[in-house]
Amino acid sequence: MKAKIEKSCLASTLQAIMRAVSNRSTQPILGNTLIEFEEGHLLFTGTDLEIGLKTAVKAQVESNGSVTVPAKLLYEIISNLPGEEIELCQEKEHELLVKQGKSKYSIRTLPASEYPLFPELEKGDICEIPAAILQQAIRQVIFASSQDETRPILTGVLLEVEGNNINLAATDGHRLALRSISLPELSQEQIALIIPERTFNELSRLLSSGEGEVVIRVLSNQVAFIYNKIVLVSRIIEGKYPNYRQVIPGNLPSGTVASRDEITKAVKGAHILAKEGSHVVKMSFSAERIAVTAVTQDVGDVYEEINAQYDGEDMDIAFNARYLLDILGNLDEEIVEIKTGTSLSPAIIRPVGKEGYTYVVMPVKMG
Amino acid sequence: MAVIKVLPHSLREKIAAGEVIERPVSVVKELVENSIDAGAGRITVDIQEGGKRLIRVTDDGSGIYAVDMPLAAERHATSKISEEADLYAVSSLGFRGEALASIRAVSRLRIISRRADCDEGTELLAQGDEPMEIRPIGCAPGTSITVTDIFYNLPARLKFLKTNITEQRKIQEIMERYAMAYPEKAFVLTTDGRELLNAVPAASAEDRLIDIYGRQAVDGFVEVTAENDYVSISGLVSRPGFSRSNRSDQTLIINGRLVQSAVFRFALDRAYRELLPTGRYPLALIRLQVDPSKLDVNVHPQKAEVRFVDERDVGILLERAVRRTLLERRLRTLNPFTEARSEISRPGTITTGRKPYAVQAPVNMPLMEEAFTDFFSGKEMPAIKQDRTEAEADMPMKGDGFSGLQVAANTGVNIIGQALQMYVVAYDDLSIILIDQHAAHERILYDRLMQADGGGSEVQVLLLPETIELRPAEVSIVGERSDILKRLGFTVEPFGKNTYRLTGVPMELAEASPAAVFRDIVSDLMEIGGSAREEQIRASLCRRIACHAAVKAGDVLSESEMKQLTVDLLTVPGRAMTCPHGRPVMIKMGQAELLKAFYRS
Repeated sequence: MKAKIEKSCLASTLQAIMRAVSNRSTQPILGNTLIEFEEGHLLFTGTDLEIGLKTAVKAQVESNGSVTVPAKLLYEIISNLPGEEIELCQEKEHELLVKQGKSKYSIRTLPASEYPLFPELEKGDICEIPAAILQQAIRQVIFASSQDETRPILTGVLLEVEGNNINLAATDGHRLALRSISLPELSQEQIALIIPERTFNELSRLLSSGEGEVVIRVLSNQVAFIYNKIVLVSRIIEGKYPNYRQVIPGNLPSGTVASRDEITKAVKGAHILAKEGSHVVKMSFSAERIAVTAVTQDVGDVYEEINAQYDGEDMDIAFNARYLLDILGNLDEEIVEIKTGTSLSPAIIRPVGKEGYTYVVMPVKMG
Repeated sequence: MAVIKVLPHSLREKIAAGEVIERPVSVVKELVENSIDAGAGRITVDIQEGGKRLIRVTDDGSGIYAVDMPLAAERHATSKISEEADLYAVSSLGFRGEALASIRAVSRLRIISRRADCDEGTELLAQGDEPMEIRPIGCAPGTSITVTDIFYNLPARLKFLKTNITEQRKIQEIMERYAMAYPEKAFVLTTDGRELLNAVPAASAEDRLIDIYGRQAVDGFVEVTAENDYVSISGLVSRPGFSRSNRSDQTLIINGRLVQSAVFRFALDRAYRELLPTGRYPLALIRLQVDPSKLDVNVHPQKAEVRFVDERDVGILLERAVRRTLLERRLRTLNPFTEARSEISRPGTITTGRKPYAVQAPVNMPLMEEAFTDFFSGKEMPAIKQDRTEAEADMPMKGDGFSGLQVAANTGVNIIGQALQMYVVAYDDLSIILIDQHAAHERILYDRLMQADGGGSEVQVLLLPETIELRPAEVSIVGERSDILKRLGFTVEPFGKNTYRLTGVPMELAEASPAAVFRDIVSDLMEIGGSAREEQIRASLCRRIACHAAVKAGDVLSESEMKQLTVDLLTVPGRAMTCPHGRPVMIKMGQAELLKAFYRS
């Protein structure tokens, strides 16, 4: 096998592939990337068995073949080469040569036949979704997923097709973030997949340019995201996601509308003292204002007040400040609405003037 | 005058009884085993005041002939074995002929029994050494034995009994174990008419497990089987995600007998090595069928221990079977990609090597093309964003660039960074300091929890309440301790039979798994027992909460977290520098020590 390839293309491809390659696996081959030499291009694959990435790079391929080499090693070698064009070829078995000018590196290889099979990309598209919208949706829900490995289902993010909507939902049992995206052309099947948090994190990185569309496709027991020239395949978390709709309160009697920026500043301020203790901040709603307070024994206390339109009876409600800051920091709209029932029942936070996002948060009962 | 004399009969009986009958639960055990040996299909146990006042065991077993009745309560009288050879191949639970005699020596005993083939039954009344009364009586087939006022004549032993609740719980636990050992039989336990256990005959061990642990928990078990020439093992063990903080949920049944065995415990420990953190134990119900001739049950008066030939081999057999089952499960759930791969590399099948996509599955080609349209249209691949995200910026300092950030002035400690993802490394004017992150955080949380008494702690209300199925014995303890649980911040409410609903957890546990913590708390309560003082219980539960809520070894700490931890640890005057389990929180290496280590003077 033999090919000539541009260094910048190869470098950015390897950077992407290295995200999926496992560095500390007991199986050395998982630290490798599979390179397939085909007419006109090279295909690179990386996997740690949890996720897999595959991408194609344009190249002048003189002879076909396939081989695996340590991804990080190859990346370091080519990054250090000064020129633009790089030659990859195999002259001896178990060795890949990386050549440029007078530089010649030979890397030990492992046979391509031992590399895990990349899942077949059968048909079965769920949808095509603008990358920027998907990326925003991921950012707005992913923080609510659980870190608790004893409840694997909640460590993932639910990806659900329902009618004309594609929903992303995440909950750790204390709060729920739900983003619905309306898409005109959706496969009408009911689909519910639980996607590992890490998969969405990696996908989000790949989408950072924000242009173009992402195709989501369901494989037999995996899911594939196809974007530009990259395919990201991930395992799905098995199980049934809790019925999250049940926990979204219907009619909440009281509502307050205020500037997101001002609430954020007030909560952040209160959190400076609250984080010295239990992270609890109290919000007191009354006509025209929200008071945010926190008291930490032996440390101090804080009072912050902001203007707000409030409709309802005066009430106090306490929250884990982190749960408030998570949502406030991930909304893009200027104005937010906080709807409440009682001081012990779930509250809803939504951006004003934008449909499709709901954050439900449970209060804290003060001692 | 002779000093040595033979003891009177009644005293001999009391001494002998002491080995067999230690507390009310011993009576229950002996009588239930008699019922099982009598082939009963339904065994009902009623108790009053934790069995101290009354224990009644009623069965529908074979019953006792009127002519046998006078011997029934005599020592070394039994129908179960008759000659020495029988002793080496005991197939019944009892055989020593001691149970009823021992019970009779220390309580008031009443036996009513009728054989199904007799028209009338017989009643026996006995009390210590006094002559027995035996008379005919009308009754249903089977046997009912009532034991009242246990240890009425042994005040010393009576004094050592625990509270009614504790004694009752011991009885509940052993009844649950018998129920698991004999799924085909019905077991009922009531106290003062209140039902504590009602296990109807079940089709399988697994169905019976549902009666005891609830349906939820049963999904947490996997089946294990193994056998060799003389032993067959079958049972259910918990998946690694489902564990307890003690071994109380490990039940071993050898030939129908509930026994303790160190070999069995070690075998389980080894099977779960690396799969469970230290201090966590699997749940297990293991049933061994051993050729009776290979088994010596006559080693312990209560038969709580047995010996058998080649014990070690059986331990290894069990360990391997469990390990294999667990690893199979684990591989299957963790590595979806390997399945495809194993198909081509399975030994013995001919593989033609890995082929490129186009050849291997032609139908894929257009799809791949579709995926790579941008490539074929010649557009550049987007650069991957390499900016440090906010999360990364919050990562701990790496070895390069020691910033030596100053911690709050009044501690005088500079933090260098985190080492081995376990220790905060720091120094002050006089010494190098290593802080164990988990132990330190545990201590801080524990002190905070213990201090927060009275006012009650803050409760994070749950958006998704957890329903938790408990064993009957556990249900009663949660009921008894509801006050303490509430004060600590657990909001639980009964939610149907043997089920509780957890709707709020202490604020400290926001990040932990509520169900797992609650289960641990319940096993702690079970272990502490009913007679512990309230502050003991609270301390123990606070230890548990602190342990769950604290950062773990292996957690990566940010700069601000390390700083917070150090300040919290060092700025409270008089704080104990050990974790609540007694391990040190911090190691200081002073200037003098270091000089010595480097051979400087």
